[in-house]
Amino acid sequence: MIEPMGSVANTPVMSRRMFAWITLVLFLACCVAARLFISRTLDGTLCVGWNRDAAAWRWGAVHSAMCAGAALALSGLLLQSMLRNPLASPFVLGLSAGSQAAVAIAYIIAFQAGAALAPSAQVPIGTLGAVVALLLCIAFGRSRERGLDPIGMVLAGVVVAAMAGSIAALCEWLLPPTERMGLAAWSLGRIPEAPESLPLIACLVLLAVSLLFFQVQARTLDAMQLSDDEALSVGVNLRRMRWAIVIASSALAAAATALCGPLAFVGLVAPHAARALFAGSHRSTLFASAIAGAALLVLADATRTMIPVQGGRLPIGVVCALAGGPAFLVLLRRGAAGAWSR
Amino acid sequence: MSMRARSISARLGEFHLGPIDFEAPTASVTALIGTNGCGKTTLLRALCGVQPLLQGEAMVDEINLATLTDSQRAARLAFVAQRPSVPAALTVRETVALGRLRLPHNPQAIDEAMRITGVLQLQHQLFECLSEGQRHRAAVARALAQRSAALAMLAVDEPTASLDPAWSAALAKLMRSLASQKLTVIVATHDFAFAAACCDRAALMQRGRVVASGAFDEVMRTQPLSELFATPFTMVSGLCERPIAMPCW
Repeated sequence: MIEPMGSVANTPVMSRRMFAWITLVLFLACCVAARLFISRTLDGTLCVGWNRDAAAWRWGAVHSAMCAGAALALSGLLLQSMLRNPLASPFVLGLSAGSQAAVAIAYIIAFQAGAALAPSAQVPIGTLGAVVALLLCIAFGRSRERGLDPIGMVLAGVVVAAMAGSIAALCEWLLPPTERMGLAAWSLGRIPEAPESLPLIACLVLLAVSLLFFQVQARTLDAMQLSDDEALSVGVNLRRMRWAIVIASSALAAAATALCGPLAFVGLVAPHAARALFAGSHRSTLFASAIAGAALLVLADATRTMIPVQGGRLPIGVVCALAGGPAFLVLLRRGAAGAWSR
Repeated sequence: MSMRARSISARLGEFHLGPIDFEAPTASVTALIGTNGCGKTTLLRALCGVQPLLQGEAMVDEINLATLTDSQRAARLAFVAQRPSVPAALTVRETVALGRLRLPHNPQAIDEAMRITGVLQLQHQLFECLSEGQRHRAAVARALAQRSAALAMLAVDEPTASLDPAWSAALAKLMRSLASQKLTVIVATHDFAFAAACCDRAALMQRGRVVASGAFDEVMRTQPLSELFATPFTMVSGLCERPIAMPCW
């Protein structure tokens, strides 16, 4: 029998975890407070304070941002876990664009038929588009030698997102100018202050069901971080889990996109923030990612209020892209430095 | 608790394995020896039930692997890959505990597996921060954590590729110790000294087939090894308890 080496190093894991939860919840509270208390008047002056008349609108925006942010973050975490790829997110892999394209196509078809696309139809149609986009990424991003290659997946995602974005743009162009505004504004991203109840409820329900399901499967998600052979040998049903993740991550991305339009950044950064706070086990990072995503999107919404621009506020999609671009590059740099050697 | 394969064949890309008949008796350590790309890893994967078979059947304790559920397979077979994967931001303990994913929670089994492989003092470190050798020991610990009354076989791919001599010798002792506890152990290796130190059986592989198998000393002779590797071999004494065939440079 081999002799043990040295003694056990005890680290205060519990207290560190408690500190991380407190930090995360406080961060969310600060972001919500910033969105509720900071505003800009019509003449461009920045105001800090409670406005009873605007409170309902601001709460509406906070609810929308929290739901969409949490859904995107959870979708991103599941994709990163399934693909063992730190660069995966619903935006990078084209799920958001796929969802956007599917909804835009449905919008055109409904318009040609002389009807309007019901908000309740956006989530299932968007989910279909997101699933197709993700399956295309997986099909073209894997190689026989290296399996699901992180960079190959991202490259496939770039192409899928570009194609889906073009389809969405074509659909916009096919509409009469008077009809384009709604679709165009949604494409740039929005945080609705009076959100449609159906996408909001769909987002909430999907979030709750996904969180509960994957929390129960947290250790299986951990085991999926092993290679396929190792994961199978410890008893993971990879096929079943992967389909569950494909459907859940696509539905979450589609629900968030239906609510707020295609948004970058949150689904990529929030899972990394959660892992930085709680290390890697999904027992903590599932809920932590959802909270971090909610906080980040509320913060992005509050931030655009503070940026003075002509004609109102910056589109949320622009704020997210401006924040997400550098975050993506930093992660790419870490990968180039060998930080995700697998 | 034996492992038996009857006329198994499998395909991995352009590579075709088999048909192969193979047997590893209970309480034995079998070395799979062969040139690069001859199918050692694919055979190990097939024997662990993680490589789909084109035909034939692999059986553990006379139970066809294809009839086992994921949980039943995990309870009977453990596998250590040549290059253990690096789970994102999981600690060593969390990674080793994955061995009991489908088994009843047993912290003592996890502690014991880490103690045996010398990673107990690293248990709170992130797996990705370990050296290659430490990662491999932690991966062996994960497989050991799968031990239960039902565990029949441990398959290890290139176990000494990144281990220092002291840990290679310790691992050889561990393999013998596991075999003495009625486990069937199969190792794919190029390390002849390690194989001689722990194996009592060997199978030589060439181009997807098993070309010779049986008792270690009968199979690991200079002539078949020289033919297999197209390199002269000679018997060397003093490296371990018995003379072993080693390549001449």
